[in-house]
Amino acid sequence: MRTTLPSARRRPHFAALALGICVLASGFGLAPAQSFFSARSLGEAALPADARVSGFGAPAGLSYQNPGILVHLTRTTFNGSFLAAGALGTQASRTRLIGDVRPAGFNAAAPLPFQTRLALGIEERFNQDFDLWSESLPDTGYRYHVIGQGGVYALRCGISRSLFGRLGVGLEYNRLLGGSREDWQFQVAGGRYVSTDTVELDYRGNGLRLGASFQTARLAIGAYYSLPYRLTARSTRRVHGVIEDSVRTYLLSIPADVSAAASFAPIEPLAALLGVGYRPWSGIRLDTAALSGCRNTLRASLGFEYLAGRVPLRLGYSYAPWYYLARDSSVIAEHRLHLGTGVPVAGFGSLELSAELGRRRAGSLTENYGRLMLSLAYHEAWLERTRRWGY
Amino acid sequence: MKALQSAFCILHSAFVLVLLLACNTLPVGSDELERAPQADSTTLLPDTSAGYSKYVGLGPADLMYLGRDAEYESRIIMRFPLPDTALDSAVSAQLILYRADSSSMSLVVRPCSSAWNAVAVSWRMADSVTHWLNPGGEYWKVDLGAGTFTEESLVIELNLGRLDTLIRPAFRGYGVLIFPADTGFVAIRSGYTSATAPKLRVNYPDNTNALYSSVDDAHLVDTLILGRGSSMRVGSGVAFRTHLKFDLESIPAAATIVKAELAFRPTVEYRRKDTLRIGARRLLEPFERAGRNARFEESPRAFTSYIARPDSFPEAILDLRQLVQFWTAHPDSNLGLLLVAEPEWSMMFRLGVPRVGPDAPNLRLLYVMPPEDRLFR
Repeated sequence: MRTTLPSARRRPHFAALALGICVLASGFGLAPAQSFFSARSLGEAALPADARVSGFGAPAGLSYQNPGILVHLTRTTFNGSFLAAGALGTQASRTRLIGDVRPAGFNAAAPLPFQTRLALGIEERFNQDFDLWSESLPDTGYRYHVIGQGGVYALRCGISRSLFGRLGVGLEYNRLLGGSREDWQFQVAGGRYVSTDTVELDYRGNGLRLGASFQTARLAIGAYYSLPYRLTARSTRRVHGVIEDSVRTYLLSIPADVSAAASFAPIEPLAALLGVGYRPWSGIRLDTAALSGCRNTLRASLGFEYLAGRVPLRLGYSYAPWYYLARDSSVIAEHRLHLGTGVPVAGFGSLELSAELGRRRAGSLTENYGRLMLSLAYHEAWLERTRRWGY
Repeated sequence: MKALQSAFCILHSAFVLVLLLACNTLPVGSDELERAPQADSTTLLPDTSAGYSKYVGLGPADLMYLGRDAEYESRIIMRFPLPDTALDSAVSAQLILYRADSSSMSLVVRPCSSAWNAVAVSWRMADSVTHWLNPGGEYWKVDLGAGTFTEESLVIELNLGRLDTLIRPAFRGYGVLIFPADTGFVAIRSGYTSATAPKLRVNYPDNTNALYSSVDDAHLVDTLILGRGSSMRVGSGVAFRTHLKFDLESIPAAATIVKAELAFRPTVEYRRKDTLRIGARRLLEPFERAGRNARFEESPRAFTSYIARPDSFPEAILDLRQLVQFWTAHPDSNLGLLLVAEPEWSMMFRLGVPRVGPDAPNLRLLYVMPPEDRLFR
């Protein structure tokens, strides 16, 4: 079953729309933050940065995050994603909007001899972008504005092998690095900023991930397993512009995670996808002690893709509680509705677009958010694409 | 076209809505910050305190005060750049002064008989090292002229026969001293205000004249209350200064000083206006070693406008947040401060600063420790 994707004549409309939205989002000058919940622990756990996968619920087992997914790869592929996100936080009848526009990830894959493939990439693992104002208390006369930016990223390098044209296994090494910077701006009565203290964290670590997939024209199953790894975090504080000598180093033991997904296309224009991911976050350790307030997480997603002529229309839903509890010890429950589509770019590759509408809620804080992801894929000598759930 | 207009309206509304939502600073989600910095407050009393008075140079004044009463006397000294030939064939000469308030005042002009320096001249000192033989300025007991302020400017006819005292080589540059002839005070504009600077006009036979503006001027102030009691004071004219030093060792260097208020309840001993400006100057050398000659910063680190009330003495509060923040980061620089009148050439006032008791100076501090990182437990 082969399907030719739509012609390139629609390209200018989609490109203009995507560009317009991105420019608008960045032009509004929102507080550059992704979530009001990201101020603690390692921040928000990131989903696969690929608009195509995101469109039907972001099942990680069938994404680039699975090193065994490259079963049918015959061309060198580059894939870059760009994300615009806005979140509307509501708490005690107060509302505030934050937003973020940034690159989301990059993947490259190339076929090698003996049915092996090489995969490289950069992806975000944790996002620590937030922007919060403290309460203004009459007896203190000051408040602080905290702007946090950064996260933990993975430089990925993997090798995989295709077996029998239907099976793929892969191994991936992750060099984890990143950092975050928090500016704590103290504001006194009258609105004057009087001081800025900066807290910086640098992250380093190494990880391994094993993946496998089985793919036929109507059925695809993929799963990966990330081994537990250690993340070293080095903390420095700069107080009033002077570097303090109290540098701290933490050793975080991050638990393993496993993710699996399956797609099934029983009727020609329609396919269904199911994804699950599990991580025993209660096993996270900070130095030798358990990190309090963390809980095991099970992420589930359900998605559909319908080929309307040559245009794929994607719809998905996912539920994922966060791995740490809110300050009031309630679970941060997150529901997302995923939408997506794509268009080929003749002689280049494809342009994928996804939108997410989601809600996070914990205690009295509710966050409604929207995300727009744009992925541009370059396929060497690409002409048409076989409908597959791998790559 | 209608569709375009509708689209524009929707976009515009969305833009305004987003701006409204995004630009607010509401504390949404603030309770998620479990690592809110620790705050602390304390009130410090001065480690050391002292008061002194000093005759200071009032040369940089915009306004010069002339007058006298039971507690103060103020004279004005000024000079003009007269060439040797300025009085050759002159038929008359006038001194023109401009006042800055509506006070009436009679005055007498006499030639100064000694050299002086505009920056350092005071009631006691002709310059930074030379004392007047007679405090208040050396002068010839000759009246060059006299007049009374009744309008905004006063033109005083000068005695041409005595004016050579201003250009004789031996006395050139000494200028004139102006003495009050009444009680009360009048504010006279100084040479810093070019249009209304004091001027000497020399008239010649052919209806021509030469106009010389004051190049140096100052007012010299004396007071009768020097040495009275042991209270600390803040005052202008004759400078009354109060030295305070607070021990800030208990405040961590990394703390952000959110509030640092120096508060005291002064007693108004003398004033001629309702708003009295008090400033805090950072000392640049130890008061214990240099005493009243201790150098201090030229600009105040903080000041307050103290409103004197006839029935009560409100508290004077100076915001020393930046200065205390500087001292906590640079403890060796904490040599204390001086409470001074701002500026010291302003219309005479004098406040008493209690040494002890609830009205004595105290430093109220609120500080916040640096935040911890997100992994700190």
